[in-house]
Amino acid sequence: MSCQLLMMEPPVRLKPTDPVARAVGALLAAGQPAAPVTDGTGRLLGVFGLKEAAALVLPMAARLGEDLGDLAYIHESLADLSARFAAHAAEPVGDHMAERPALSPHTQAMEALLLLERGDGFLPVVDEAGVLVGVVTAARALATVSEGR
Amino acid sequence: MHGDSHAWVPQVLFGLDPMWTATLILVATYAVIMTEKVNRAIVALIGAGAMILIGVLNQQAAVRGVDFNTIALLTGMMIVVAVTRKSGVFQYVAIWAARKVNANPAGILFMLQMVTATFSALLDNVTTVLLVVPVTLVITEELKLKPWPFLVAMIFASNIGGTSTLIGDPPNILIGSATGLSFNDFVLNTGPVVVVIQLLTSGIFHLMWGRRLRATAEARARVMGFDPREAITDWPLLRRSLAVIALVILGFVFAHPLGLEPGTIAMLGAAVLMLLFTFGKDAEQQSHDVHHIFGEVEWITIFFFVGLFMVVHGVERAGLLKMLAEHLVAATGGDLATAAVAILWASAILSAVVDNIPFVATMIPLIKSMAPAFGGPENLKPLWWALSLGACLGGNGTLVGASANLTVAGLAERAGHPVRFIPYLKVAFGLMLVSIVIAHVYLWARYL
Repeated sequence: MSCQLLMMEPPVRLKPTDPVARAVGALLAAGQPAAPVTDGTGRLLGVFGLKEAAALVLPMAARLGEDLGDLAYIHESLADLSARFAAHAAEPVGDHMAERPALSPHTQAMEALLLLERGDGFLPVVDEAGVLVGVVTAARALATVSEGR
Repeated sequence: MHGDSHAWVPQVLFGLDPMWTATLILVATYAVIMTEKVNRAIVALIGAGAMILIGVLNQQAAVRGVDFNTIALLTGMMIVVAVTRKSGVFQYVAIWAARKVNANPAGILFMLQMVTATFSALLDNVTTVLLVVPVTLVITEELKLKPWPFLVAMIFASNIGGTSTLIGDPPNILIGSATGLSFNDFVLNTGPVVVVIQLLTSGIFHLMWGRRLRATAEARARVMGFDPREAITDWPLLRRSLAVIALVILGFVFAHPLGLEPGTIAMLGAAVLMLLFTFGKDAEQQSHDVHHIFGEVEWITIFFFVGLFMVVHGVERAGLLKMLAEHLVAATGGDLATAAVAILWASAILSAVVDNIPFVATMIPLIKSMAPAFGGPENLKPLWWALSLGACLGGNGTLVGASANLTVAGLAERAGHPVRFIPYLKVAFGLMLVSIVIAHVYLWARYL
């Protein structure tokens, strides 16, 4: 079984010039973990999700991953955190999108589920030319699998 | 380290001359290492394999060329650090240092150099910068300062601090292990000049950058709000780690009179710390933890050393280094002072542009071969200090001069603050030369 059966139209689709604040608003309204970022021809450029948005609140050193250790020593108020986010609100998502594994419509469903389990529940699906043809989300996949049709 | 009593006679394929064959393998190995196109551990192991396959060494001679004291010391200390870092102590000290100067940027610049130099003296440089740079980036971001001055100053501090002890920098580990010079010998001989060089370098960085660094009161208040105690993630582990590190350092101090090698002390310390870390956990968790700790050992460095020891042993056995030593002694007119100065400056310049580990590994047997010309091994000490000071301090000269430099550059790039080769060179090479001039004066005044 290919992942086409798990695929759907992306509820949110972003342009690289969309501001971060608007993108986050759209994701929250649609209840989606992420959205594909495409150019004018529909080619997939990257993915911007709540994970990337949350990273904007963190110090840049958070990009170091495990090498950073933890940040328990920083005590911030809600106002501090909001100010950190606001500093990036007007920036284009193209500056902050991430690369994620992209599926092809022929990818096996089992492989798609494995990648969902390893990631944040969102995978873009592209054709041979790299044009976005849909997305697979954990919610949609589980709904399909649990209903059995 | 390279001596063995077995009379192995090289039997090189096709009757080739062993010395020139070994030289060709050494030059090819070093040339490929310098291109950085192939991982240095792979190159060194292939070079070692070539020495055996072509017949310069047999397998027994190759294994006898490996200095297992150095391997044990490096591996043991890597394990000790891998466990200790889990406690968060390195972040604690960096934050404590920043708060101690009321988050004043110039004060932080100075304190982080002191912290880095001290950690680098007691641990290895790469590990030190790997642990201190991330928290430095957090602090500079909070202060809205460019991290460049802090990163450059930390590179210098790591290489300068590491020069002061037997365990601080790989060249010193190699020299100490090969010559029997103890932990105390290094502290008493390279330590004093390192203190002078570090303080002078800190002063220069203050004049260049520190005195002009400004942060708002609000930004400084945010850094003062950092709670270093929260950085400690495991207090019992912290206490155990510090106790073991203290015992290991005491062991280094007393190793020589007790007839123990530093490698034995480090490996025993590593085993005790792993025991304390895993004690009371079930077998599965113990296996998981030990597997994870072993995974943090820098095996590339370890296998690089193993291969390199075999390659250098090959050229040593083939007679190349003895011949070079004779030429070097002749070139210096048999004068110890001239030889020491030549070794200091050549080590510094070469270590700035090529990896100082293979250079030092080759120089050690070469200098040992000079013993008869200078009246015995005891008289070679100035040459060992010249090699140590030149190779360790020279690493500051360029961004590729030492592993710690590349580690800082890598971390900075990932965090969005790249440190580029040319801008670094413009600042660093001159400062490195200043440190070598000081070392030159020190060697001349104290030993020559």
